[in-house]
Amino acid sequence: MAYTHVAHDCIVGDHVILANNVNLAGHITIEDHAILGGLVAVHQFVKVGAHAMIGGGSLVMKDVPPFAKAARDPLVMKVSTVLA
Amino acid sequence: MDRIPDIYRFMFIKHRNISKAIRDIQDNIPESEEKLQILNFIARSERGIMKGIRR
Repeated sequence: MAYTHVAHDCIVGDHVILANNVNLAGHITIEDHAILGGLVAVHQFVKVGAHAMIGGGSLVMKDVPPFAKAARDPLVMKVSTVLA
Repeated sequence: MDRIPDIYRFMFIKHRNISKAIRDIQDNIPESEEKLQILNFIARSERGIMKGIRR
């Protein structure tokens, strides 16, 4: 979406949603069907797994595994009623 | 697909050590495409996997 920045050497998969003001540093891999909320900043060389969801305003410094739902700074897994 | 919460339960709630969690996941969770995808992703990870759980 608007004002998103994708830096050098990034690989963005199919059906990925990058909301407003997402910033991807260099050498990032975003796998298919991932969703990044608004104002998410992703550190260089990070990989975001397929179908992962990252909440808005988060700072992503480590890899996010597939199917994970994560948010906040420091990035933590958001617990759903299914997982708890 | 319904095994994904179980996999993450092993990783983030039952174990603080990813290696132990992977061993338990391989022993206790039936084979599925999602399990393979998650374990392959962790094996390929260079920066390490995010930590922590938030209630």
